[in-house]
Amino acid sequence: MLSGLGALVRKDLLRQVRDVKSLVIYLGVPLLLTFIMGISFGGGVFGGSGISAIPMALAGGDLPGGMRDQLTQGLQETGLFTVTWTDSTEAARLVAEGEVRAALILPDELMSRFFQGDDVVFKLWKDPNSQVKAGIVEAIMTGILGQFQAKEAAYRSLWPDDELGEFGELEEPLEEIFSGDPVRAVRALRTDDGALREELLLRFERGASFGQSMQEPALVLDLHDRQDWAAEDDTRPSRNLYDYFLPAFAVFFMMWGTVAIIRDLHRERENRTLARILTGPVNVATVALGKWVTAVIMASTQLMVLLIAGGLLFGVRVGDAPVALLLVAVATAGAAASVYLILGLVVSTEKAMDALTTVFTLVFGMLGGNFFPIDLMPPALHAVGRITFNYWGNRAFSEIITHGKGLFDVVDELLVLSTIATLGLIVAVAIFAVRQRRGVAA
Amino acid sequence: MIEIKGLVKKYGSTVAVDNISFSVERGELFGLLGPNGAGKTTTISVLSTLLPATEGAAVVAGCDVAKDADGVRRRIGVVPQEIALYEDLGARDNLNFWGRLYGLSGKDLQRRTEEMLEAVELGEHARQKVSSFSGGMKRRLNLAAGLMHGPEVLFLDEPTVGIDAQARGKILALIRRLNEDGLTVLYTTHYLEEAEQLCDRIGVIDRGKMVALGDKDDLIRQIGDEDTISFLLPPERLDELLTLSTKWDLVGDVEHRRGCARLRVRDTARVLPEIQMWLAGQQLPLDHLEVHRPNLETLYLNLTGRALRE
Repeated sequence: MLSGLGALVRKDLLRQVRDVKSLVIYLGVPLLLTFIMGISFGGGVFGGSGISAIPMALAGGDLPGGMRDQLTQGLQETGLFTVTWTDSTEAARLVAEGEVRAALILPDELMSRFFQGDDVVFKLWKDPNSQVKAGIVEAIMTGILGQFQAKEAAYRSLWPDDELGEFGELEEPLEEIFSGDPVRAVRALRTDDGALREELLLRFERGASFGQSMQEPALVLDLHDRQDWAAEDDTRPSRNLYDYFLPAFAVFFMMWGTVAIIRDLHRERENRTLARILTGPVNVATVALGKWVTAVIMASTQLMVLLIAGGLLFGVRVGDAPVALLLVAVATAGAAASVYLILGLVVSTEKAMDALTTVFTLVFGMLGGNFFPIDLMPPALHAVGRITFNYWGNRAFSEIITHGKGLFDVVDELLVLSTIATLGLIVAVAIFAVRQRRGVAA
Repeated sequence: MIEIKGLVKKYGSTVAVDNISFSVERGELFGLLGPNGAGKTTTISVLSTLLPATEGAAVVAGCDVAKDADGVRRRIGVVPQEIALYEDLGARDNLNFWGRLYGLSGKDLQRRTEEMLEAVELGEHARQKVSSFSGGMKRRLNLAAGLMHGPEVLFLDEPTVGIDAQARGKILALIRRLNEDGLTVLYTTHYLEEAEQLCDRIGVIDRGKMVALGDKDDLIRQIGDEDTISFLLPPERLDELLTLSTKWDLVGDVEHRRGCARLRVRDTARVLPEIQMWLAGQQLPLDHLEVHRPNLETLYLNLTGRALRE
């Protein structure tokens, strides 16, 4: 069986390598598209316009000068924005002329309104021609504001009848709130009485926990990741959209590439080479396994080439966990090969397979998060996406590339992909065997 | 070497092979004749384990096709009617693949590949892609691929379809040589002249049924050993011919169709000169005078009532 399997795999690989047209489609086109995407979203040797350089404007509001500086610094430290303070008229012009991607207009008497429980309305003006980057500004600002809204909600829920007294030294404690120690600031604001202070502290801590639990969904975790990286290692490349889309698109290209290899089964059927092979000392399991191995080798090679190209040209972090990356590539390719093998074997012609796999690849690509992050989808669709093999591949790649995780962090994903690959291959062989018994295998 | 008993193959309600039985001895070159759709390819597909039989039993090279498919597959070579090769690979790459599939490797594989390339006269084109080959070259390589592993039994399913006379001649010569070296061959064709040239015994299959089976010469003799002589003759001279023909030992009546007289005679050597002399005496043309000996075509016509290529 092994010599037969070796012969089949060697033959298929030889055919793939010798076929220049197929190689261009398999590697050349994905590389070209990856390159274009890299230039569009990535950084690396081409610089590019990554998220690290999103220009945004802040306007309005009557924040004390110290707080303005801290807000500017905080936003710029995320590594995602270049912040300009201006007035609302100028901000509108900047957005209209595309000089900034978004402008956040702070309301007048922001702090008083905030502490008095009045509605605080922030206006975010977005550049309609840059929905993605403007959307990122929106998402992150929503997250930041959400933290304060949650704390205020917590406080109001604990002391609904509380009246604000004198602010005392206003600027100093408010700046402390923004600098990350609201408990101390509020304690200072409220009272000098020891017992009352302790009571207040206890209640506030409860409120803070409540607020924290409320704010968690609003927090943009990636923002914190970026801050963590920046603190740990300034030489790391800045994170941008390409970090997400490179593996997502690589997996998507790999799906098409796998279809092309499995499709060959139908071509062999039509030119009768499959029939001839099946009159030799191999069975349908060997033939299916041969196709599967070829597809896995080609698909994982394609994935690795695209990822390495993204790393070399655009600074995507692919070198931190190479073993994990390779294993995820092989497991994803294995799962893809099994699934497409099943699809290839349930239909009788190449044309039918093309139709079926096109629909399948597009739907799975969308559900699995190859077109856009799956987190943007409603929870129900998010759950459906989990049935797709590419979801698990995307997730594992994302963990390694975007979040800098290692092999042990993607064991779950590897297990799911391996299970899909194994069960899928068994099902494919069973279908093939049934077709042979019916005399329609070849 | 091949033993088939009561073989039936049905596709739904369609009976492709209908209870056929025959055997082929070791070293024999057996011809299975029949028109397209007669059931020849289906029979080979069952014998080569590609299709399961609906009923009946078949043993090839000592292995039961139903119970020991692996055993059968290791002992047979199949040359399908189609060019079952990888056109995007070279001739040598193709042969290497088919050899590897049967477990050949290293020097054995290399030696066998070169032998086969020489045998089918494609040594000079070994690196050339099959897609650039002529029909004849592809057919020869198709044959070589089926021989790479040195099978005990070779199934040849119409191996000369669609090629010119010269290429066909080369393939037939190679098959004859292989058979002389001891290879058992089951050869299907609808070219009767090929079967006449090559085969010792034949089976005639029509609409799934075996309608004749046996030694080629015996079968032809069964339909009679008389020759048919035909020549151009104006209708007004037919009476004179009828008078003359009374002294010949004719089989049946003299026929006259489309300006031609047709006589079936047993003693051609005596009758033919007399007809020539008579035609010359009557100053009638001799250039359309023809003698037809009974052959497989006649046999097939007699058995099925129609020509093989209808």
